[in-house]
Amino acid sequence: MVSEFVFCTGQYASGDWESAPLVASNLIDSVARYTSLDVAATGVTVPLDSPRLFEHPLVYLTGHLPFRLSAAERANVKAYTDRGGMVFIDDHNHDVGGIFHKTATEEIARTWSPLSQLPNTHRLYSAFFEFDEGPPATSHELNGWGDNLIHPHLSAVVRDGRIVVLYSSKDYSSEWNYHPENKKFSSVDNTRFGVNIIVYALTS
Amino acid sequence: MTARQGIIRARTYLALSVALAAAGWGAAAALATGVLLVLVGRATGAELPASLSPLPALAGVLSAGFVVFRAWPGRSLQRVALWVEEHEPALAFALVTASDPSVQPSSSLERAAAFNLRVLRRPLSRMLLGAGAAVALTAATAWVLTGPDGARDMLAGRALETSSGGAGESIDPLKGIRAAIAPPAYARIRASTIDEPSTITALRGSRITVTGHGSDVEAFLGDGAMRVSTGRRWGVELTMPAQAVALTLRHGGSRRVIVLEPRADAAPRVRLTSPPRDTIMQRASGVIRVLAAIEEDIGIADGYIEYMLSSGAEETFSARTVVTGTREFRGATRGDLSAAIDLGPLRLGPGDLISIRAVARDANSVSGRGVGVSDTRTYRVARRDEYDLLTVEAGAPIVPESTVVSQRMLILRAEALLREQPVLARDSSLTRVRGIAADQIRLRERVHDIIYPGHSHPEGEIEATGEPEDVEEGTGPINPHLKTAYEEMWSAARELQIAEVAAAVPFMRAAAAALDRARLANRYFLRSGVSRVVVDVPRVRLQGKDKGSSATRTPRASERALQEIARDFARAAAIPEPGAAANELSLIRVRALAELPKFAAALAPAIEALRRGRDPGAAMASARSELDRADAVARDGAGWSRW
Repeated sequence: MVSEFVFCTGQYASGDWESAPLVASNLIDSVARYTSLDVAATGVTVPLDSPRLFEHPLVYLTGHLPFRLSAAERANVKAYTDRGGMVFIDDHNHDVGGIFHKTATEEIARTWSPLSQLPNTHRLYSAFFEFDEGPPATSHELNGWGDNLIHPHLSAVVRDGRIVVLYSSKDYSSEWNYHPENKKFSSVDNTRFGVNIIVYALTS
Repeated sequence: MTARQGIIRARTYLALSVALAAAGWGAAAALATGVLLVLVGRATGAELPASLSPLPALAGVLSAGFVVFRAWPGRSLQRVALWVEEHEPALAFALVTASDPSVQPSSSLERAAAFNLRVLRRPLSRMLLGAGAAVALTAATAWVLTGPDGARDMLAGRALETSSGGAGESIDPLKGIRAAIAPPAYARIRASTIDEPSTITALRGSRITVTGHGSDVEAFLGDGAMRVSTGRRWGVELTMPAQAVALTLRHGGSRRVIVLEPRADAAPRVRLTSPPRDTIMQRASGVIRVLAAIEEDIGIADGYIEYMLSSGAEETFSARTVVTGTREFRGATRGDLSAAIDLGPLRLGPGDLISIRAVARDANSVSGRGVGVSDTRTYRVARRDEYDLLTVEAGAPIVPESTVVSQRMLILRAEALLREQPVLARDSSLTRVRGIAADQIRLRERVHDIIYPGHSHPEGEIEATGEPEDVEEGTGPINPHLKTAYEEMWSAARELQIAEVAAAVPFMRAAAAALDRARLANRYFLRSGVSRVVVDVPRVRLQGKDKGSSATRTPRASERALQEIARDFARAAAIPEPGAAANELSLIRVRALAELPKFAAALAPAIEALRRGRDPGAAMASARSELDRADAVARDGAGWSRW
């Protein structure tokens, strides 16, 4: 049986899937810091068309470039979510007019179904830490980068009450892409919401 | 009345009588055929196919035609005169002679051809009485066999609907049910009917009319009550919903469940046959031939080739989408798309991408057009440095990147101050502008530290001292973009310190743009392995030893649903009465359609067999096997896996 959580970054053929290389270690640090979950010290990168994907309950995807899945990737990741896996996709462009957002939302609709707005009262926001006002804003949003919007909601594909695909336009990839050693300089750890995503994926 | 006038009147009487006789014999033949079908149905005990319904009407038409063929002499006066002479031989062909237009009329001829119209009464009466007797006889038979309305039903082509009960029998409204299905117009599929349906499978949005004999029927779609039209026949109308649902019909204490199984209109399947694979080009030139094949279950509306041009790197991208090769398919189920993309005019540079795909849409006007897209083929123009063997791993954000963010924040603050300045008090305006100026100077010092490491600068002063030459021995060349940013910041800070915010903003923007260029110039990002940072978990946890378990899970909803379905299936299989068992299995099938489609498919023949009174054993065994298979997969799956 699975006894150790391993953070998994998904590798897809198109685009720059590796554009936020420090997110994995940062979230692993947060899981270790705040929870008692058994967690592996390093993350893994798994191609989306690999059967190794099924060894992980959560896969994280990000990028700036067009997000297209090959037929093999699409079939595999669809089977993965059908069997209980969860996909977290974050727009590294933080731009709803950007190419990643356009292609990713299209690909999500094609692979699963169109995204719908996730209510800010969803269990995701209380899976570990309490986020009463929904997803926390990122500094990129507050600084007016990308689409110059503060997105009040995340989007998701929900099946049987369970989030299958979680999609963010908030650019958590930029927000969390720093060495975990630098976390001590922050007054509030901005990766806490990442812990919620992981705990939700493990318990939903 | 002349002989000619007499013939014309005789022709009128004859025509009316032949028409009445033909109608009578036609009705009698239709009734007789209907009665025959009813008798066959009862004798065999089997449901006669709906395709036999037009048979009575066909028999009626043929009989009427035969009567006209035999009894109608023809329209010409000579043929009518011959018919009259046939029934009045005493005329001795005088009437035929008088009707001949080439014979000159004469008084002697008129006298010889004179006849009384009463001579027609006998043959015409015989003709009409025969037809009337046939109608009466067959109608009486139909009445005896099918009740007072049976004859009318049979004449209307509904003979089979009357086969379920006779005049003296009470009609069961839940038997003899018929479903008429009218698919949505866009599908261009003919309407159809199903007799005694257990499951109605139709395109989503189809109009479905379910009818039956009698009245006092209640209908429920899922849990919601439906309006039932009354009259001699009951009926419910509905639109095929998006999800499978049970239509429950109730009459007195009996119940009948019909499964409504929507068929989704699948999106077009698009396959890009050319180019066959992704490619990296040394130079962007030549023509790409794009070919795509489309297949659709209902009909393709249109399709096109789409290509997307992306250039840039990291945070700065530009992209545009071009559509070409648009084609209308007007409902065809197969089609091809083709286009030629000339790379020359696109002016692709090193590192640029062109992503190509084919898109097709169907004409679904019910749930929205289905869009099918092919896989994407990507052509990329190679960068010169890609041929180097140097591997540079991605690192943490560099200092110029954070300075870009800060410079942008300063610009936002300055612009906000400019907007608010007209309504701000002077002191408050000065306080804010001094704050911006101080931050601008601090930022400039950070840039100074990057480009002139080791050289001090006076704290808080604009005039930096000791700025070395652009190239110092041993330190290498200075990044020109950073130096530009440094100089622009100097100008901006100078303007801010004298509270000239409007004059400072252009310098601030120029500094931000230069920083952005410097950031991109300094950042290498080759697609390779991601650098791994190993987290020292025990240290992060301050050597805590308390362990959680990430594998502890509660059963998923679908697993519970599977158990419930298995339990209900076992109960339904034990019900002795076939109709009740079919109802329960239909309800289970509605639930299984979403979660266990293979089991639901295996269940359909079992329900059908129960409804038709056949042995459901083999079908039930097959359904049970599918259920066991799904259960075994669920139990043997991985810890977090559903199956």
